[in-house]
Amino acid sequence: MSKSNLSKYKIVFLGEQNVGKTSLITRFMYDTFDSSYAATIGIDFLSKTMYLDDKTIRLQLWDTAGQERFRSLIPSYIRDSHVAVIVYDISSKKSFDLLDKWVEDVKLERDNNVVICLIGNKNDLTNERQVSIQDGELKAKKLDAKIFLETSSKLGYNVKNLFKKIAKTLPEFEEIQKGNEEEEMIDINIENKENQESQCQC
Amino acid sequence: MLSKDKKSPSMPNIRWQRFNMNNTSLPILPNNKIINDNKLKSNNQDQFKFKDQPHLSHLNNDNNGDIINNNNSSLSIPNSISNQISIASSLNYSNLSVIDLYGAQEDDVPSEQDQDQDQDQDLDGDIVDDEGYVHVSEQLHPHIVKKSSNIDPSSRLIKDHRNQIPIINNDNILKSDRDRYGFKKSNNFISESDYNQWWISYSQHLIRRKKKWNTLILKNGLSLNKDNPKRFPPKSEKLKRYIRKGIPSEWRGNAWWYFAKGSEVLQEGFYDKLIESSIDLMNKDVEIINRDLNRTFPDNIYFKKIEKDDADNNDDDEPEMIQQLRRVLVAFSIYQPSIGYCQSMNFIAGLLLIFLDEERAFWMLVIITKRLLPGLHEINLEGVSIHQGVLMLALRDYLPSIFEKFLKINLIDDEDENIQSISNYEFLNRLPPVMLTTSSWFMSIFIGILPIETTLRVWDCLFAEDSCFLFKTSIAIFKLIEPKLLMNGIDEMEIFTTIQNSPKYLLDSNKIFDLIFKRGEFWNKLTQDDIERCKKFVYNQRKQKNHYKDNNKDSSNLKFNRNLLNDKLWNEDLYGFKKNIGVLQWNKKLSERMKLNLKKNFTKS
Repeated sequence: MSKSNLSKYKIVFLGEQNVGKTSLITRFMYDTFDSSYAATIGIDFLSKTMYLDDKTIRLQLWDTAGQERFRSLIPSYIRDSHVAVIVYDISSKKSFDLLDKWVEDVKLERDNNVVICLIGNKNDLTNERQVSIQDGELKAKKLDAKIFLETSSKLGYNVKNLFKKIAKTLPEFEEIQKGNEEEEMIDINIENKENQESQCQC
Repeated sequence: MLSKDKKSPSMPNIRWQRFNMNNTSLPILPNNKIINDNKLKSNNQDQFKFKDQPHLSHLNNDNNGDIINNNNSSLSIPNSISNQISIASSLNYSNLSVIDLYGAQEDDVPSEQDQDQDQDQDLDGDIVDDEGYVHVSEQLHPHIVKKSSNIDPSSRLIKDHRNQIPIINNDNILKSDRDRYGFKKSNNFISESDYNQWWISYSQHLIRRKKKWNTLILKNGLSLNKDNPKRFPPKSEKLKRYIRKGIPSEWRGNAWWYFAKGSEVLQEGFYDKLIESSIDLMNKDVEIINRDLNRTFPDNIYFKKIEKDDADNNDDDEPEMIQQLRRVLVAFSIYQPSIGYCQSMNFIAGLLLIFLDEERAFWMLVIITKRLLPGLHEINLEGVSIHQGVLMLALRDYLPSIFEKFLKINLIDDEDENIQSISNYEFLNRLPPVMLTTSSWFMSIFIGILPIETTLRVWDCLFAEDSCFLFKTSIAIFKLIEPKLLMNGIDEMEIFTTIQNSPKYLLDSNKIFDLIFKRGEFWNKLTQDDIERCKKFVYNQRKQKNHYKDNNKDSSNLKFNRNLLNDKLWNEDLYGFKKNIGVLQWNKKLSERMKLNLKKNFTKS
């Protein structure tokens, strides 16, 4: 199948400054991690072809700047996104408290025609944790997020899993998803990550 | 305390008074359209009183130093003649058509094959000694300071002038994995061997240019000051051409400072006061600045985190450059609360710090945000949209196929209305998403977009020719990738990828610069006046659509800074550019005097 015939889906990454949006994308794209990435100015764009369950899709990933004032530039990116990944840092209560406004932005542009994922990143910083998993789950429910995960770009934990879950919400995989309701259960145990990811060939 | 109505001149609403006239006619950009000569001659001599130095027009502040007001008056043109002005400006360019490639006179234009070869007959070799480019044993990165635990802002009172770029030494550069500025030579787009290959030929260009600069400086009776000249020749076509071909990196700090008229803004001791007042300051800006410090140039040797070799090391172990960067950004956020801190300024300040000492880097940041790119970093970022709108207008005139392609993107998804209709300029209100990819071109002034050496050359011209040069550069980049963008069947993703990634391969700065100044292309005749007119037009278009209704929604953030300052710091003078020394004028006289002296000495001997 030629690239241009593939189904394409837009995924926009939102969230406060320095929560790890770029590192999450970099981990997914290249499976690498650096302790510091240059701050994202405006928007960065990446695309990746993903194979899952014998199907191939193309994901467009939009990495955005986290500073509040950049929010005025972002709406047009959100406008036709299929998925919004809203990221906070589990070691920063503040980044968690400000989630609502990002979700608000998304719903303003897309009503409910968008899959919202809530991601607590930097899960490896256990000693600095300021937001509990339970709080994250509660928030996800409240915000109507279809997916909630804690991730660690540094360790690669749950990153592929996230993208797999995202893919499964897309029309391409809808039937499969219906047949596997139990997969909706979110596993946040770090020990299980290898099993979680073994299916995904991306 | 700062009273609410005592606004700094750079508050966005005041600044934008410049555009705030009911001018709804679209400015005409220089091109090959037929020009009505009669209309041109009749009007607006004043508009072109800076014809010889159009890039200086905005700096011609009167004695009250209020640059904004001054600009306002020069742009307060009755609506009825605004059209003619646009056309008149076109004539202005056609008059200038003898000036071409790199600003050289037609008969002075070098051959295509060897554009930077000696078009100057004045190089006689004798004048140029080996100062500068014969270099032996300096370390590649002499001013790296490993350990500095003192983060007391007052520590910087010991002025450092260590920010000296190492002189070209091919052995050092080729052996190292880093360039002269401490950046990694390789990245995702350029390999180390690509870099070395390019460097071998480009360094020859640099050495040739340096010789010419040496000669130029001496011929103007100025001092090379041990390869660290402080004064530069007065503006001339020749100087413009020299700048366009690149200022020697070792001199860049001083040259930028000089051409941007830094000494007009610098107020002795003021920066130190700002730093003192920022000790222990904690607010939203400071918090965001702190989070960006290590995310500025994480790969640069001066900025990267010091590796912790033992567990005892703590956060005090911060590179000197990071401390400087913090001080400059925090000081700026206090100085200019309408901007505070905006991501991307960290890159701008960071690059300045590689070339200039801390105090001058601070003032250069003021010049960039106030004079060169006003409004761009303000809290609502409306300035970004205005600049992008101007870029759209320029594309429409110079690269119409690309323009149309951009409009088509997203058209299918937009059910609202015919919003992208060209005739009503709706594209200025809802900029095509592609345009937002280019917002960082302006916000970080091509840092991280173009390879560093190319970026530096753009900066050279920015300080000498103003922001119109950034538009020329942008258009040239689009011209370069035009064939790819217009390919049949290219999809939206590929368009985005192309725009985002192509500039990162432009290691050979001569390639893009040759295109910017290519003869027969009209974008190289864009002047700052055109850009200002376009900004005004875009501003008005967007304003009409009520884009400004919630402008100040977020201004509560500003409260943080204001209350922490004393009255002295908010003296009105701080926001104007009162020191009207007229550096260039003064310098011209000085250089003439020096020439006379030289002559006298010569005849004596």
